[in-house]
Amino acid sequence: MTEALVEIDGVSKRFGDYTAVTETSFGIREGEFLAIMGSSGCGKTTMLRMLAGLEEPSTGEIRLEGRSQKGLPPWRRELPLVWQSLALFPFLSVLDNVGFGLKMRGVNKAERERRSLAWLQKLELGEFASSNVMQLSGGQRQRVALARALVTEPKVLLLDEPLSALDAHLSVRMQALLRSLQRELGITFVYVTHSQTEAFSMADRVVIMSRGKVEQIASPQSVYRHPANRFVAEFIGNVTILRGSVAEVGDQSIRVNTATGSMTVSRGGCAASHGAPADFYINADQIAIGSAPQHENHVTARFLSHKFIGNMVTLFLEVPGIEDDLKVILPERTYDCLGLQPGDSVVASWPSAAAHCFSGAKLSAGA
Amino acid sequence: MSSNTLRRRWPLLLPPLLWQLAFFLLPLLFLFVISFWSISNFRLQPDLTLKNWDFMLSRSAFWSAYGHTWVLALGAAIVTTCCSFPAACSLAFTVPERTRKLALMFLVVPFFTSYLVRVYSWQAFLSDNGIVNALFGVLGIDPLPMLNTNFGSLVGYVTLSLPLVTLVQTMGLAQIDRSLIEAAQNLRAGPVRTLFNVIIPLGKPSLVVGALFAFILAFGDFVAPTYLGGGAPPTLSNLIIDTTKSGQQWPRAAVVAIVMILTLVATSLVAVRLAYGRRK
Repeated sequence: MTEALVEIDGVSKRFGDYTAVTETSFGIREGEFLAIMGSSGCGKTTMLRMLAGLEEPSTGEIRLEGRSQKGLPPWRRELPLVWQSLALFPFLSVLDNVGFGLKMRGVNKAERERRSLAWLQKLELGEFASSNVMQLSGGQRQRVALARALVTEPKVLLLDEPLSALDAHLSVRMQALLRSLQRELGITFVYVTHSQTEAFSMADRVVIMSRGKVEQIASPQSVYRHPANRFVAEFIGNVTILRGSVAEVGDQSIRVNTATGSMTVSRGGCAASHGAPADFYINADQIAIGSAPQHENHVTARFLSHKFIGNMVTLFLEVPGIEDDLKVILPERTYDCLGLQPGDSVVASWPSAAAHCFSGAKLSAGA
Repeated sequence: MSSNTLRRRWPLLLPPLLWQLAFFLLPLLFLFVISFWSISNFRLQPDLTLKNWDFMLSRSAFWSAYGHTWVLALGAAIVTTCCSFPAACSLAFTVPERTRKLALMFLVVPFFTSYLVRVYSWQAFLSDNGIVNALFGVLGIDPLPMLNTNFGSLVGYVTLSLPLVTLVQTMGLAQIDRSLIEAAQNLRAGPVRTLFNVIIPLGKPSLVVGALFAFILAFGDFVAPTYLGGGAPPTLSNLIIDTTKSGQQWPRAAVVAIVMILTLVATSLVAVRLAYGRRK
């Protein structure tokens, strides 16, 4: 990680007895779009505030281009933040809001207005330059906040759930805008969100946090296909987790005995030893449904319910001996052809390549 | 509240309405009427004459008292605002909420003692051989006359309005959205620039309303200019006392009172526009 632009080194943050962030280290690469994702209270916003200097880490340090930011007040840092509440100045015009950062840097009025206006025009807000920010719509204000943070041409832009107040349609358009801006400018974006859709659609890498700790850092694809642990798998929610014990260890795969029978699981990188307890997951979109098994692993299950998600349907199946419902994702048309009624008995089957051990797990008898 | 509930509950509004009518609006009307009456044999005589208005408004003594009162009240508003602001800032931004609430409660404590007593006790500090001048003597500084000067009046005015103005400012500043202050700092505004570029513009309503309170209280006060300012040159309140004492000139005093009320109404309108007016 020599190319890390920002290094977070052993950083933790305590507020009294409450620990918001625990001993966290990772690097942010130059020019990447990094999303920090987690449910509320996981420490993602605290992490962002520490980057901006609004909170000082309790331990560890943050380095920007190798320079420690320790003890540096927020107004001496070059890390503009786009607030969740936008935090636009209500007493200033749109143009003066955008130019605020330049004014604080001592840029003269003519130059300030020229550069602010250029940014407003780039974000299609030129006609609103002299308006009051309170007269703008949510999406327009959003872009003003973005222009205000970008006008000083920073190396890193911090964004704190900037789209959470927008309706779904507008949010999708802003995601496209943010992504293309980031590519065009080559600025590093650090984007905090609780939304999987936002993180997955924009980010090059995703940091998944839970209770002040980093659970996984990887590309959206590998977080989706290879969750590092049970928490990430449940958070992403596209898999069913089964529990068993290791019966046989092969080169490519292991055999695991579960309450519903023996199954083949692809081994991936995990170290496994005979007799060890093993959690593994099955990707919901790689399971086939029918009256007969179509793959080597199969269970007989009872169809419980389904949920539409656009052109895909999530099915919930009850499998005897398994606590959680088996989740299956099928294209809507395939589901339609099956003509299932709640209570119907079906056979769910999947290839061993659809089942994985958690990439970070060590399946040894002592663990 | 919907118009329907308002219609059903209007009797609840009766007591304050009647009170305002009986003890504010009617006396005000009476004051206005009296200003057109005349005095004969030291008795009020119903009349319809402009003599009193003509007499007061044509005298330079009235206008110099008016100017003096205006300048003193403006000075009181400025001095009180400046004295309160640092305290209000630290109460609003730096202390925890519990401490702030406690401090706001303590700000009410001065009102437990009579204003007159507080002003009298200042005499012990400000008189020529009072506590301050005694301290000056120890430090080798020549004694300064402070009692019976404009400075004395100002001390009295500040005593009167400081707790109230601090209260108003603190409540106003505490409502400022913290993320705006953080946003300014994030955009490289240091503490001083944040103060002038963000906190003062956002706190403007409470600063102006606080200053207006100080102005109104000082403009009508007669205790401070009498007992600390020495009554000379007279303020409008001193003038009212003098006018009623010399020959029972209630109609002329009424003229002064009405001019004062009109001045305060005009000042309040200007101040409210300044406080809440939209900036271009």
